[in-house]
Amino acid sequence: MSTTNNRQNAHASGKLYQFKLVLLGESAVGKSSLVLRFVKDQFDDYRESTIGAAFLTQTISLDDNTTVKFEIWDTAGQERYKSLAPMYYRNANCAVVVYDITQASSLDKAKSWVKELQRQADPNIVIALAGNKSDLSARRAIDSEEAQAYATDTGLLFFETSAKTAVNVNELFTSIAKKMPLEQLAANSRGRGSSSKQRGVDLTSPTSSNNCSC
Amino acid sequence: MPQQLEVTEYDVIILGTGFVESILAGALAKTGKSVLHLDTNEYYGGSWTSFNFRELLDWAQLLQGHVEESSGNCQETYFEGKKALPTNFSKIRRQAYSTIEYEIYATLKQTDNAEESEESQHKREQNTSEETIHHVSTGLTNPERETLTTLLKESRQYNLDIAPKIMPCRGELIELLINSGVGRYLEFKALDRTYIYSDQDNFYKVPCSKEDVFTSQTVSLIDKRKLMRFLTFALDFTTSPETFDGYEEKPYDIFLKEKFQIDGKLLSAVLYAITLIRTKANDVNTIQGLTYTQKYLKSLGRYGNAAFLVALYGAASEISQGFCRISAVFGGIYMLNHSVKHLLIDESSNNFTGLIDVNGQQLSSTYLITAIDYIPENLLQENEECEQISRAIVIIDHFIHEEDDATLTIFPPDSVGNEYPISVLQFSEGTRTCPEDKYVLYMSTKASGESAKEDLYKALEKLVNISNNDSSLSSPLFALFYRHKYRDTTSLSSLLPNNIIVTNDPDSSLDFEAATIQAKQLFEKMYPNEEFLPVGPDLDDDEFSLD
Repeated sequence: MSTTNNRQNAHASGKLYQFKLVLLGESAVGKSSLVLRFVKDQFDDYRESTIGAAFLTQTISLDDNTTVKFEIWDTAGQERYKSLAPMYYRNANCAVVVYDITQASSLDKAKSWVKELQRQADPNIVIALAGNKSDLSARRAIDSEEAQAYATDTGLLFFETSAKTAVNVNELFTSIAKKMPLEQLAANSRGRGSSSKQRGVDLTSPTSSNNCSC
Repeated sequence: MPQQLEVTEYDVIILGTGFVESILAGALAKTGKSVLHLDTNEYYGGSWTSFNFRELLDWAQLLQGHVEESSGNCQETYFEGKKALPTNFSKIRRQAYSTIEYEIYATLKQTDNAEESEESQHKREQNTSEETIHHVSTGLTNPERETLTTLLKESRQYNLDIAPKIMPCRGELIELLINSGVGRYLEFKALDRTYIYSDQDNFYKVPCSKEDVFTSQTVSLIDKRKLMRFLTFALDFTTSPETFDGYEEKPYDIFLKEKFQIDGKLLSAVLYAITLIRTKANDVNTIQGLTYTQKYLKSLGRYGNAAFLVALYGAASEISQGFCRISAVFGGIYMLNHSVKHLLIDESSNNFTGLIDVNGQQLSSTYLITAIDYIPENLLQENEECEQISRAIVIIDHFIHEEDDATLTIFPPDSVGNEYPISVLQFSEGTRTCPEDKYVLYMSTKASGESAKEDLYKALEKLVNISNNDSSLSSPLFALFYRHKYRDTTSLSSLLPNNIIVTNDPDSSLDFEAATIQAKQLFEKMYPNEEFLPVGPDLDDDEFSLD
């Protein structure tokens, strides 16, 4: 099942780690655009709100032996009226909290999403703060320094990104991948949930071949 | 600040995020219908939800009427020429539940660091209703209060279903979860074992597959032969109609006795633990019985040697959230904690035209899909015959049979003075229902006595040291007993507009099959030419497209 987390598989040239990454932030700050840039290297100026994507995956090779695969969950608009389901946060290993550098209120919103993550998500979740739309610096309403100071205080990764020009997008996801506690996961095979995962059932992989039903 | 919606006209407005409503939301949005999905509760799942321990206590208090609720105190009135019928969600929901009682037990095992737990308890109390905690802890002895502290401390590790159910491996729901992609949001485990209680205070493992029958120590050779013959027949019963000729409408137990000489304990096992009949044997006819038995047998072997799957973190609530996510992905709009003041009815056509929400905003739609709790009182009718289900959620400190993640135990009718079969699901930390050193028992039966507690207590006594007389049994920490109505279309007035589509409450069955089928039928009734959650393009990865 593709929602499995912390999966550490033998990969052709090393180890593959899979993580669930959730996006958060106010509507229209460019959450989906960031992902679209990261996953497809595309940008659409007239993107409407997210329709039609359940989740996307993208892999990053950290070195010859280590590949990180992100399963990226978009809010599907459920954040708009504060109606994100607990399922969204469940087993999330990392999160990107996005604000818009041209919208003064969006950093405050981002801060409240960080609080929500701290309340709802795994305590070890890796969080990155992304100040998006850095290409619109002429309309900047939020100082980099202010956001950087907040991120440092709170222990978040921080980047100013532009989904439009691709600035810092790969850097954002790569630094998350680097911050994931891979060694720990490798050493501790009983990563969260994995003790039972081993016996978990994958709906799409029936085992009927070696079993007779009466 | 009230949250006004930009769009006020929809194809469908849905009230309640329960199981059936959520499947419909996903199915409708996927066919391109515009969907607005509201819930008065601040959580997903409606009367199918799951709670952490603290939320469960709050809920019990609410239903007992100890917590003040703002009631929709509005009058029937007129709005732009339409009749505006007031909704009264809190009151109607409360009336669906009765005989709510809970107990907190003194446990032998105390926490080592009471000081720390007290501190953390204090911290948490700041977040939720002080009133609840105060009310609950009043009158408790110190050891009981200690148990409460432990439970509250671990509150978030509990995912307690208020209408717990399991899934046959080859049922409607599993197919739907696979086809819709919702299954990928969820995690599953197999139900490990089924036990049946017999007199003499013994529990027997129920042999279900051929393998089980062969290896069973508890079934005699003669019974093994009978069972094998029957199971082989039942798997393909439609191909040998001569076997049940003349028995179609007769009670299933008569058929089993007369045609397969299955009787006594073996009969109980077939009826209640394999066929999972939830009523008395003679209420089920042979065709129905064979259909259920066949469904069970076909479910074996698909995912190992188990007939049922269990969803982790609570089943119905997770599944509902999954379908709501599908709906949102296809443009459905979600607002929790958003109540409805009035439904608007056009008097000349007796059609639903829209509603007035908590902000006074008028929202209109072609159809309204709703859980019964949102229906205005004068469109409901008192139904004395309404089926009721007695349930208990019991937290214990040790497993009851063996150290399994998920088991089912059945008490056949009359085995502990019970009129109807009692089912007991035991879930462990492995199902993400509770913390590591605890287990949860979900008990249920059709209501027969004065209260939920009366209906279930004797069975509980056989499993748990609840009356302090058998220290070899697990000790209870907490038990909540409650009864709820199963309201269906018979609870509705004939005046209900045709374009208001009503979903049923959770039923007494152990699975989601009837509810899944209802979702499908309601969808087909509304949009007969559309396909119900067709197998779509894989949403994963390469489907990040706008249209």
